[in-house]
Amino acid sequence: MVKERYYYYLYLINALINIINFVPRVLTGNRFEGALMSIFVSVVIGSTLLIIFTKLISRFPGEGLPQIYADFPRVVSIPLLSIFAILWYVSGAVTLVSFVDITLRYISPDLSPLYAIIGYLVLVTLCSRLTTESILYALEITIIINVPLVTYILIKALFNPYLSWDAVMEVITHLWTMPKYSSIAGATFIFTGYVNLAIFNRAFHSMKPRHLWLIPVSGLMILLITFLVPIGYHGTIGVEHQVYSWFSTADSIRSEFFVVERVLFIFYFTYLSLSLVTAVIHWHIALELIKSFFEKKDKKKSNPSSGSSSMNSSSSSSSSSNSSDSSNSTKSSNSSKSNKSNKSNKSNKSNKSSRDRTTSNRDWWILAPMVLATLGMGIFLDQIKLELVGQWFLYVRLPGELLLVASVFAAYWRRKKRA
Amino acid sequence: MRKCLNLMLVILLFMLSLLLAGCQFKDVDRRAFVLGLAVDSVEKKEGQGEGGGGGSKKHLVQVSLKLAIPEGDPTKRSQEAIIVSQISNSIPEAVRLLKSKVDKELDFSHCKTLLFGEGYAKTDIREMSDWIARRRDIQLIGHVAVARPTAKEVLGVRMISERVPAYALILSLGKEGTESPFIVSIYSYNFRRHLSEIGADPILPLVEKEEEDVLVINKAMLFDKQRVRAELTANEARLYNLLKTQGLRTSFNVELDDNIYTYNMETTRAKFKLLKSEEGKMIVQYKVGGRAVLEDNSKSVTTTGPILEQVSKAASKQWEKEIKQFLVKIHGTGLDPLGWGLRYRAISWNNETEEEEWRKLYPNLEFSVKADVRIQYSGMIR
Repeated sequence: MVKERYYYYLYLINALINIINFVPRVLTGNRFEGALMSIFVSVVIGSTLLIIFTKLISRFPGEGLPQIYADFPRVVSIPLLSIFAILWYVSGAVTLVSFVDITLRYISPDLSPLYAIIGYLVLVTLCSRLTTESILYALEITIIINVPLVTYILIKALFNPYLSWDAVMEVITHLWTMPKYSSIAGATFIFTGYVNLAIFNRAFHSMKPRHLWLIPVSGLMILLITFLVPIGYHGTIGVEHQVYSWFSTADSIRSEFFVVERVLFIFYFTYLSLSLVTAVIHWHIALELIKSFFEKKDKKKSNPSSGSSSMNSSSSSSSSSNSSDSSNSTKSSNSSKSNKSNKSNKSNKSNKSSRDRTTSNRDWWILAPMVLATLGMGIFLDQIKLELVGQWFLYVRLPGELLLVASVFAAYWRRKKRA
Repeated sequence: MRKCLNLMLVILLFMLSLLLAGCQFKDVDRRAFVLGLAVDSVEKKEGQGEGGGGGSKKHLVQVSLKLAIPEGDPTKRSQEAIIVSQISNSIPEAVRLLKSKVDKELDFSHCKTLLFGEGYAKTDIREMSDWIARRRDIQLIGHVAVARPTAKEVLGVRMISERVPAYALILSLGKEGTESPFIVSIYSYNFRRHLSEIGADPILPLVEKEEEDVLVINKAMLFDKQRVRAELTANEARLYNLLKTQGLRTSFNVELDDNIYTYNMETTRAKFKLLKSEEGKMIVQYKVGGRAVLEDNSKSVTTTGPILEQVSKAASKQWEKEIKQFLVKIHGTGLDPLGWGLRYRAISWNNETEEEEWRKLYPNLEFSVKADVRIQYSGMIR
């Protein structure tokens, strides 16, 4: 069980990672066609969805999406869960593949994309099997290390005398233009961090975050910076020529007295860790959602009478990573797993060990197609196609989010009626 | 069991640190670092690039690279640099051909000076500007400049004060060493922004080779979107800097009662506004000013309060005159290095017609300058 501040970390990492997920691309593409207006619209839409969902999920303390959907008939819940699992998977995969693209472009062009992808995938798959709490702790550490660096780069960027405020103003004068759906879908992405509660809610014992007003305010700031700073550096026309406008912007910032002169490298490593953690979070959720299909079957077979469903699932996930010592793969399996589960493991080792092995194997059977599909994406998507996929993901994501909020609301309503 | 696992983790971490010391498959001693890149256009037919197809004779470029050979102690002035050059019909092709002239892998990641030969800048710079922005290893914070007589010759100059090859160019173009008010310092991203922007045109500093080992950077070249259109003199380059930057360190002199007063600017500020005049013309109104300290006066007059006041007034008047002349000259070239057009786009909210309106307004622009120089100190003596 973790404190509520982790809720903000979940929001913050999604807000920061938007640069990798083609949000600036969508926005700059529409900079004369209502991108600025869509930023304001999306702050309203995004924070409304966020607040509604947070309030709703606080009625299900300690439950993940599969448990919340338990009241639905399986005909409804399974397709819903698969849709969301796919969305979360694609989200992580887009982040990974576009980061591989960035790595090849800026850091080591001689490297085969295959090696880079495999390197990232090893890390992400191993970590996505950790317990929900461990991932949150890792998230906190990543945020604490990286946010000061990002802030430094932003301050450096904003106080550069060569930043053209006239170019920024020129885009601001295009404010009164009807926003397009594409840019709204892109801009709302930065508020999407809350959907991760779908699984991470299991780790929170209560969900009443204070200072929620911080989210629309900071979201607006982040969106404006994301959108306007590259325009100030590359001009109203030139910004469109940049493939990764923020990486080019980081390359245009010069830091005379801090670590290295080319801020690009600091920026790269910051975003490397941020995007890997995002991919871990998203794949963890996809994995947990798919695993829940099988857990129900297990439950029916073994018919457990003790423990709530949430306890059951969390102990099963932690014990699954425990058993991975015996399986060949994970040396980095979590050290933060609870002693309790260790003990319980010993006590009824005889009847549990076989089940642990099957759940561990099952994890890998679920991850295998995810890994393969990502490899395929990495190999077959060139720059243009990757951009298309990234943008389509953003467009599809917003209805998916609405569906998620609506379905959780339906579940809440059903439960209330029954009670 | 747990202890064992922790131990293994620690060992694994230490093993991972071995991977950190890498030079990406090629060690430093197998790399030749490119410190400066120069592009000239070649008109003669005889020096045809071997790899360049004979078909396109009109467009030949000579690419010269200044290579540093990594060795020992950087504080000693023993660093050798070599210059290799190659003629071909495109820049990348020339670079490929150059690779077979050196025994090491060319590394552009430290290439901070990018020079256009004067001849090249007068024909078409688009290829080079495209290439330096497209290549991922050439920094966007590199310095771009025009070189006279040719870029290759300028690159070949080895200044006596220079310790590390090509460092003198970096120091002076970036104003890291000298803070000369005559150097218009332009980063390559900035240059590229002005190339693409509607309502602003690029400007680049001009590096001239004066003697065998002396370089002078005090002029500037004005570009349209393709080539050089006009040249600024040293004084005009300084005025450009005065209008474009805040806090320029420079001195000016003014004549008052047959006595020449020189004053040094401690702070400067400059901004401009676009105002509509009654006849529907657009007025570019500059407001400049700053605080100054008297540096000398030729007749050693004791400076009193009223004299300082008078000198300040005369200086302001002179600024107004000179800056106005400068603005009119720039306007006469039809270019827009100070970004007036961009400002018009920025303040105009009817976005459909603003470019057309500006095109009509530009030929009849009027200028007004308000200068406010305050010479407040007389230095150490009265």
